Amino acid sequence: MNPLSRSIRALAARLCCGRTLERLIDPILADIELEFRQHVQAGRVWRARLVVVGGYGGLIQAVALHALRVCGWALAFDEPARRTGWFSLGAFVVLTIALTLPPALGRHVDGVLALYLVPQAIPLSIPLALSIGIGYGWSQGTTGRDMLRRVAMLGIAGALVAAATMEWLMPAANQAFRATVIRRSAESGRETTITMRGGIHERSLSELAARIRQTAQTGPFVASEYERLVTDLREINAAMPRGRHLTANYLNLVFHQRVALCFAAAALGLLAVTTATAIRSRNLARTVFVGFAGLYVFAWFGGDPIVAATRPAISAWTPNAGAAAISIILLGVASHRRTLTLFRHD
Amino acid sequence: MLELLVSEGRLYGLELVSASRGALKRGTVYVTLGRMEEKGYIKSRQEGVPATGGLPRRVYEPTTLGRRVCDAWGLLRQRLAPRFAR
Repeated sequence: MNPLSRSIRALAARLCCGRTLERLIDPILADIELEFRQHVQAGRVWRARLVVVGGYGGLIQAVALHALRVCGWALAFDEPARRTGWFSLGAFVVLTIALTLPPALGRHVDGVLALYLVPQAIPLSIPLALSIGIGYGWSQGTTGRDMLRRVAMLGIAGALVAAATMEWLMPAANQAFRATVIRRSAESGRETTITMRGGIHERSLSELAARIRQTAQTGPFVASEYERLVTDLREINAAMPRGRHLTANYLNLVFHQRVALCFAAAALGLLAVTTATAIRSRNLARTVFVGFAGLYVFAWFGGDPIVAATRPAISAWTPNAGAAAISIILLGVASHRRTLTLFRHD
Repeated sequence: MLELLVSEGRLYGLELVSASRGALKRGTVYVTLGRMEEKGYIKSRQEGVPATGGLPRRVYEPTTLGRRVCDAWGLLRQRLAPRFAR
């Protein structure tokens, strides 16, 4: 077995049940090995390498399908998982509405424009809703390994939805919002020229990365470059004050914050589970988790501006890293108290 | 998949993928095989560790129930096909 297959199998042996290992992981890894050997013996070295890449792609697909199936089964038959699912869904709806309402109550915003604001709230409400759902919905009777596996799956699902929203839905919705506002403004006679250039919040992650490379070469550009045509709507565009210089570092910060936000669901979910497991009293565990979650939110919005300006990646990833560090400490406490047994072999 | 197993008797997952001529993908074949095994249509057993080393392969074959389901499905398709063709 090659080193990568050996590592994958060792990881799967720790995380998956014996049946999944025997029926899903082992046969796929055995196929990859066999095909690779057959092609190498026939002298088709490059073909053998391609087969290995395709084989690992197939393995990822198979594991993703299996995870979806297990999640579906868990939501249908597993009481703690079902409770967590319903709590998370309820919290997601409430939080999305709560985060959309303040800007939606603005003077110029009607029903259609409010709908365009919803995608902005989704990446924030997913991690918060999942952590609330996990914290309040999970019973303490479930074993630690099962909890962590399910939280990991929920975290991955949340990260995928948040990433898809930020890559496609949010830039398009922001652009549509601004286009509608400017069109209405022009129709009412306040604006005569309509020339639209996408702002940073109307760019997908890939477009933002391209802008960072361009800005690093050409130097900072002025925010008003694309804002000068919407001066009448300053209250809507207040997030980016007129004349502010957008440096490559600032764009880098926005980029890393968006990617880090995708993983916020996993970080907060892990924090919720470890807090619930390490602290025996449920009410105390909830209070402590709310405190940690508050610190997490503070780290997002109240980070050091100097670090943010000079080391954007560090600044953006600090909340997730902090949550992971606290989770590891709590895991240690839970293991010490024997309330959590990780990596049980069945 | 069941038809292939009934006609060939005993196949590995990878052989099923190549025998299906593109209809089955390697990423989905083992998940589907697992579900079919849970339903009792097929059974599998692990072969011994190969002489060249590495992981042992798993071979799949249809059960009696699987053969009957496949026959019933074939009969149903035979009966329904003319009606749909009309």
